Amino acid sequence: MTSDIAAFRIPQTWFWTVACFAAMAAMMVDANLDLLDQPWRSLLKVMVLVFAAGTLVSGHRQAEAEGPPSRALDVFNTRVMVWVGACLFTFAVGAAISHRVPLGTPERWLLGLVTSIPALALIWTTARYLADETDEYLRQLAMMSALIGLAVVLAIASVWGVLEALGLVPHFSTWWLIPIFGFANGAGRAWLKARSR
Amino acid sequence: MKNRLRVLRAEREWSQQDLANALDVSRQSVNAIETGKYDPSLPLAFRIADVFGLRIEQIFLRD
Repeated sequence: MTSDIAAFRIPQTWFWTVACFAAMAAMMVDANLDLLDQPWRSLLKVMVLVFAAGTLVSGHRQAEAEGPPSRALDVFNTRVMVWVGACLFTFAVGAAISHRVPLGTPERWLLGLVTSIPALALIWTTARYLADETDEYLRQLAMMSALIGLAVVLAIASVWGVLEALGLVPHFSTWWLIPIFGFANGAGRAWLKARSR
Repeated sequence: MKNRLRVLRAEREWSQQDLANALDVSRQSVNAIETGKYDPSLPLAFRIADVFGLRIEQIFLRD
């Protein structure tokens, strides 16, 4: 019994990240092709939230176990957790109440802008980390991984934009670029860290 | 750029964390510099030289 408990491992960050990305991709495909009915569509949204929470919690535990390399990185990780949580919350609330707010009204504009604030805060968080980090190697890692994330976002946006203009692919909501940047940034950082070992 | 960090650290029986604390950088930074994966800036190279009481060119060597 004890060995069974000892043998059980909470899935690692990469598992949650891949699961979250897969669920988000499924949600994006469904949003464009209208494949699912209720309650499966709502269930998919809940899965995204659960997987995102798993990514954040396991990532935080891993960082705690390894010890934060710098004070600035510790603050950055905490801020990212807070703002990603706020992003998920405002998106969920925005999606839930948007149909009750008429198009073209100031309330609709307010809803859209309020929903976008956490995403802007995430960009500010990255800029603030780069300004606060005193360890030049860690700062270089962060800049390189941000460049990788930016390259992935630009590549996807430009290629998809051309394909969409030619009527080859369905419409793509550009707010997806924020989570895509986050995942590409994280994957880039993991790759750079593995390469420097 | 090659360097003698690992040897100098071993001579003083310092861990990577000890050197990182002395330089006020992360252990990852010391590891990256030591393994040649990252070349430090000139100010950090001077700090490393000061910690070991040596000149920069006694620690960092041309390829």
